Amino acid sequence: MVGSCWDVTELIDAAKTRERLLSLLQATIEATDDGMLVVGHDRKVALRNRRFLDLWKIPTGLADSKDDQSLLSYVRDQLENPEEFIREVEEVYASPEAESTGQVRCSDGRIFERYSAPQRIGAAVVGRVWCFRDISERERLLRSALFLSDASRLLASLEVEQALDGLARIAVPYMGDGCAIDVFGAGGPRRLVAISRDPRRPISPELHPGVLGGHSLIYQVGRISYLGVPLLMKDGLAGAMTFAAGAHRRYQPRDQEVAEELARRAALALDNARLYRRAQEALRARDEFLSVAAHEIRGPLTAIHLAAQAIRKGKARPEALSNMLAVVEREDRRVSQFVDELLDLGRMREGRLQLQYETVSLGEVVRDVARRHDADLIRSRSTLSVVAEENVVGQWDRFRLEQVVNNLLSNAVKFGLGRPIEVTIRARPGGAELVVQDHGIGIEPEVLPRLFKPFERGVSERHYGGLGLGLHIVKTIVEAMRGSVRVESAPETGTVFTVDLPTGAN
Amino acid sequence: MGPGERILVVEDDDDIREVVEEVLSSEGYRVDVAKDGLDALGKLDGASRPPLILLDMMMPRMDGEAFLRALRDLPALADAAVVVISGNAAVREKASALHAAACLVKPFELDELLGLVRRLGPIHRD
Repeated sequence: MVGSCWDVTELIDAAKTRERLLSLLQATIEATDDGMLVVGHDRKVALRNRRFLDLWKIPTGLADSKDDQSLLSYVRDQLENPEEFIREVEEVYASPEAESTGQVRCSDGRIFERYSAPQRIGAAVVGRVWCFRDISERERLLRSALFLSDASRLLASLEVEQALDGLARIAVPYMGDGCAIDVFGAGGPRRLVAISRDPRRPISPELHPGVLGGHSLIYQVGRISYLGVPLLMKDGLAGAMTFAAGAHRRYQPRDQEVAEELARRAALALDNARLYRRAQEALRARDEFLSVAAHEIRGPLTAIHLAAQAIRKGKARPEALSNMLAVVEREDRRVSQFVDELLDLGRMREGRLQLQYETVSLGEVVRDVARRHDADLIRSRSTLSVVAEENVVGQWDRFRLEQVVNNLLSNAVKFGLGRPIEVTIRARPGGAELVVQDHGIGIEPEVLPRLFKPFERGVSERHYGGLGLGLHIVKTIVEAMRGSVRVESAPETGTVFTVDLPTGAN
Repeated sequence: MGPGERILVVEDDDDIREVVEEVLSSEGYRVDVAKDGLDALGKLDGASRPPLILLDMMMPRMDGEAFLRALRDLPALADAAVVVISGNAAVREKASALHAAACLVKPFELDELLGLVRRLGPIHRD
């Protein structure tokens, strides 16, 4: 009987160490988010992690085959450009010492970053490690950040319509195959631009009612996926953007997020442009007002100045003296009226117009004011007829009502071309109606909408005097007394102002 | 310079026109008045000798500039002496471009007006 004894302690220890190392290796590669594959010299799979199989959607059976070639042919079907990928892989294998990085695009839209390095034992290369990292989300965020930054750059322009046009152009193809932008003005929606990736197939999507209601949404019409976003400004809907994508793409909530962000920036640009335009208009109106005010004040000053000097230096004939004094008086009144109008404007703008209600006869007010215009009427050669129903009385502010009648009569005389002027007063259920009609130069239709705004005038300021405040003051007073004023006019035919006033106070 | 010379005052402001007319008449000038450019052209119709024209620039229907253009097209009156009048001081720079003999910026002095009329009256030019 022969007995042999070996001391296997070392062997057992080595096996345990190996087991520990393998477990450590497996645990490590399973803990990463990268898909990892280690291929030996013989192109057999030496190691792979679960993430690798998940990334490439590889069934476990195939993974266990250990055959690198069958894995490669399974993977190639998922690629946007398989030939390129295979070529790159073979190039890497051909240079065992080389490290290599690249990007792999899948046909489902995912993007992987690829890293490959040799596996070495000492100095000898024994295999190759492949790592794949899904960078789709990072790339998507980067692309949308770049897109939004390009869009913002465009939208920084004050030529906002031009900027929106540019925006639609950069939105295709990033946001889809087509993009249409509508802007809403006084006349309703207006299609500013519609861009199509394929010029032979122009798009003209209809505005979705939901978008018109102020909501962004994804919807489908036939095979086309649409994404509509409203351009919302502080005071409502300013426009809408509609994106369209063909069968290859369905809009996702994350596309909607980008579109909403884009719409927010576009609306801000629209808002800025509008504010800028308003500021410019306000500046223009102010400059024009100052120039008109200066002109209007210089007129009476010149007349007063010349009349006073003529009287003092004896440069007027004795029989003309009373006329000269009348000029001074009249022009002095004109200046006072300008000052009153300016002060009124200030009060009205600050909402400090205080009304003193009392029982007032409209007919009486009209006749009083008409008397003050006697001289002007004679000079203008217009005649004035007043047709008043009896006892049209109400609770009104007498002074302010006089101002309304005065401003309307002044205009009728000024623009009346010397033709007859008619004032009509009628009782209305619960109210009174005052109509002032002339047959003079009339008002151009495009001027009518802004006729009652301060500093606006129906005619060039170079041609007719006045501060351009009269009708604004009329409207403000009438509305303060809960009434309304409207105008009908035609050039060369004349103008009719109609004031409706409730008879009861408040 | 003396009585009998014609002056045309073109001004839309009734009171300024009235005062200027009165002052010049009391000085012995023959004064015609017009309330805008169109009116003034009517008054000049058939005139053989150009009067001195005092011309306001801002007027309805036909303003000063339009009147001047029309005036320069009339052979008999093309070289009429014109004093342009405006409430806008920028008229000083514009006056020479408009071939105006002088300009007055409102409000101006009576003596300034009379001085200009004396200097530019037709008798001096002959």
